[in-house]
Amino acid sequence: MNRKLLKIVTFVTMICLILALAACGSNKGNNGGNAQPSNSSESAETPAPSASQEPMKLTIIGHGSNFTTGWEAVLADAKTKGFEIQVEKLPEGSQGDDIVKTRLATKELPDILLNYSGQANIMGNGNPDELYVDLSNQAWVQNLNLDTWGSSFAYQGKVVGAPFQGSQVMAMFYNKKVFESAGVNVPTTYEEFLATCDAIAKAGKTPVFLPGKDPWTLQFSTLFSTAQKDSTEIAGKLNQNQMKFAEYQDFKAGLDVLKEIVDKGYGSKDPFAHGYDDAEKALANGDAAMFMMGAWFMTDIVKKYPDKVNDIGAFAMPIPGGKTPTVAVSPSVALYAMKGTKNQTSAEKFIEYFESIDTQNIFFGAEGGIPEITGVSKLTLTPAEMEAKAIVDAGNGFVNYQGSGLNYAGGDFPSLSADIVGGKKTPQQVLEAMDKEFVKQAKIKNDPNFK
Amino acid sequence: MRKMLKNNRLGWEILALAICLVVFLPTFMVIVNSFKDVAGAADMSISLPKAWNIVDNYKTVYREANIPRAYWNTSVVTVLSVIGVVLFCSTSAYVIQRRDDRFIRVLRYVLLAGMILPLTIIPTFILFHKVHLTGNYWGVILLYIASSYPFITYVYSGFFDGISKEIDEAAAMDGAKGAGLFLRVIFPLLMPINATAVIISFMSFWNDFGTAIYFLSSPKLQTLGLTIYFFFGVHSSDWNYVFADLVLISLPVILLYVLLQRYIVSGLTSGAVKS
Amino acid sequence: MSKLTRQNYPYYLLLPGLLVFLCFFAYPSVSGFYYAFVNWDGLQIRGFTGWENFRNLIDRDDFGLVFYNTFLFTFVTTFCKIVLGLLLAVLANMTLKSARLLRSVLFMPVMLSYVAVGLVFSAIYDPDNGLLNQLLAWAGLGGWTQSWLTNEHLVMYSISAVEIWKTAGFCMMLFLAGLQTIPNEWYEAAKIDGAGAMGRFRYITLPALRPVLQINVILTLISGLKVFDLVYTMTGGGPAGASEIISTVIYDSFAKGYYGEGTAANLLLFVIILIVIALTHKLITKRGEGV
Repeated sequence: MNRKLLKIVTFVTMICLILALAACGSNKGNNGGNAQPSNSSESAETPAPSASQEPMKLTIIGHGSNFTTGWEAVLADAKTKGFEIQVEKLPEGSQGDDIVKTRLATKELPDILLNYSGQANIMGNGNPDELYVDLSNQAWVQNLNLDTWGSSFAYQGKVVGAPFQGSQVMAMFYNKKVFESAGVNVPTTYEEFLATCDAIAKAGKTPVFLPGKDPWTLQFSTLFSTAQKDSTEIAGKLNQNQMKFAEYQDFKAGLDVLKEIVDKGYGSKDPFAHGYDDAEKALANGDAAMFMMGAWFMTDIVKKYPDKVNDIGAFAMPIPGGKTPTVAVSPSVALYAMKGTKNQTSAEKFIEYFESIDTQNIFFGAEGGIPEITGVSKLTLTPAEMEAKAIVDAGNGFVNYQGSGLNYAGGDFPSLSADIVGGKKTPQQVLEAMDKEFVKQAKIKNDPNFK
Repeated sequence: MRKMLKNNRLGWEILALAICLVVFLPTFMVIVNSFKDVAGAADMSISLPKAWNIVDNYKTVYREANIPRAYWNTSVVTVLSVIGVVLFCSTSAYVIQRRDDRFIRVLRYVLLAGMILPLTIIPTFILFHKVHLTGNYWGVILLYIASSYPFITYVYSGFFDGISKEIDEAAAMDGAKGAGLFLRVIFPLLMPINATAVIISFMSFWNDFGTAIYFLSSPKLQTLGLTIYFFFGVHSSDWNYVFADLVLISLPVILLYVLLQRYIVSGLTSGAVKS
Repeated sequence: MSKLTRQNYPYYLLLPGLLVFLCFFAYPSVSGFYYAFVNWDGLQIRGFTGWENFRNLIDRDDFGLVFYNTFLFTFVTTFCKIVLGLLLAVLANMTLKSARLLRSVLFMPVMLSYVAVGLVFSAIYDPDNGLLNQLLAWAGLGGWTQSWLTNEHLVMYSISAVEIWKTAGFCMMLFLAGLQTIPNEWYEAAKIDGAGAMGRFRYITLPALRPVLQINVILTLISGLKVFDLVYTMTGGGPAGASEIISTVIYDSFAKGYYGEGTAANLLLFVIILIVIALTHKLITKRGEGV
């Protein structure tokens, strides 16, 4: 027995030792969980006779879906300029966000973080001054209109985020052929809009497709109605607790519109049975007339229904109250250079490079979208996107309530919109729910305005 | 009985085949949709593809999801974890089920609770980070073993019921003791249960996503379960790639099952319950 | 305790596994429960909140519905999985030519990921183009077609059916392994004594399967109460919250940044499952000899 016991104990101890050694050993080059080649830390700092010969290594973490054709094109060019970039892709949604939070908590930072823009997101991961490098002095900032995009990319006047992919325009997209066959034109007032819906319904098509299976798609009527010149000002008031959602007239207007569409039967017959993919199919094939969405969906249409791309156009949706119809613009995601990482200088250089007009031309030449940087000349836009852009250029595109100025998200707006479509809540109840959550989130952050 | 069975056999065979067909249908959908192009796959019907896109789909998935590396990583992590699980759980269950003192009785309840205990991933990750177990295989392996331990041990102890204690005593009288007794006498009798444990744990580790995403998300260490999410977009996804990826991921597990099935079925004919 | 026992069943066989379990899983998870009592946003703790997180959960309007859905799902799936699993195991145990095929095909769903299953069945359940409604119409049962996933009264049952499809094969496999351990001699002896098929089933098969039955019941109960991936992929908790279960509430809390509340919900779920399992254990064990 003693011999056996000794044998076993020795065996087990040996295994434990091996495991421990292996764990520590393999970590020497794995500092930070990013599998960088083990001699990366040395080579970046050594001064070299010509800077262009020395590879600048850096890691970027971001949601996987952002890295598509535009990125591929830039990556190829970046290699020739001496950048060696390692991309770590995260899953969408809150799972990816959780991982970012964990990385920050354990100080396993990437060199660049690709994340959402806007005040709530800039502040959401901790003190921006401690986390992100101040990019205000980089050359490209001159090409960024801070009046429009300041609240998206800057914190207390310091630019910390660099735009990545284009800004998105959200408008009412419509199938021109369906409109033609129903004998209607693009409506310019709310009454005309209702009449258009009626005519289309009588022609046997779905006037406004509501893909309730993906509740986030139901927000748009409100995103349109709150896209007004004063939305940033109102956001400020909400932040200071000087105003409540219950008093936000434009917001209520959007909810009323959604409710009216559903009540009058102008929406989808079984809204919760169909999702985003079905909406794209219905609009492209002409089973539905209108779809409230952001212009990004045109990329899918180009991929899936290329012969139908020219059938789709865009207009600004009118809302009750007589204000000029507007479209909503939202900022893109942003590149943040993390402070204090080994490759911080490379990261900053990369952002300079990326936001330069030449690189932006490469990016947008390969991928659709409307750049926030002014001066970019190469754009690939579908007719619908061009029509939407025209509205923005005419001065009728604004950031909506979600835009960038709010400090907290408020209620789960997709879910609340779904409640309106399902008849479970009235617009007034939705406003109350938004207020309740907004206050709760502020209190959790010990916001002094909400005591 | 044999006569009766022969007459009814056709009936049973037909029933079995019918059940197979119904159950197989959704699986079939996964496979067939991996052969279509983007628009076709978005429909998700059972129809055969209008545009056969097999080569392109699988090639793209192979390239973008870095399948060879993912296969290697997943294999290493899974195989090592499964070995650990079988080793630790069979020995633990042996002691827990046979021995009957107060400590063991308390332990049984602790393990039952352990089966239900949810993994709170963020504090766990932070802890592992402190002992340098993140960013490599070992942290994940230890976590997989530790989190499956209660459940698999429970499965093993359930089956130990069926192995009479008399065998232990007979072997002990022949001079076998402790670990030797276990390895030489008991373990071989456990083959069906070993096969079961291997399949269960192999499956859960192979398909795992929630743990791997935290510990193994760097490109070098990625496992197969993570690759699906590359093809999920923000708003809509490329379902044909998703399905092709799913087929590639599921193949080894299915193969393993087909192989090990034999052990479960061959049973304990030369087995333990000879009295 | 006899010296024989101590020699045959030494602790050193138990300890390595136990230690791994305790250090790398039990300790971190349990210590994580601490976060249920504080105001945590995933990065910082901003203060001790005591029971407030729990109170916020109970205050939810859909709290009752969430519980109802979770328990409904659990009991329906457990009952069906056990019964079907047992019947299928008996079928697969017969010396049929298609037995091997049956075993493989029925187990394949178990090995598919929930994402795949959720996607495919969402398509099958589609009211207009889905396979199920089309088959019903083709078979002349057009009046039976439903909005399987968007009818708030049906949705939990529809999801339960998918779960049963996916994991009944697993129960079958466990029962099958159990059936294999029953020696044929017992059946022969019973036949000689004049027992019919039903009698043999009741007095030999069922008692011999008790340990397997116990495992199966406990496992299916736990997985039923914990279900998440399937529901989330198929309905996301919809339509308009009709299929919310405890796990989607947990996910929701985390997604909104209420990490403390999410952990509280997790702790709550843990306690609930603990109670259910303890009750089940007592019930099944009382009738038998013990684990």
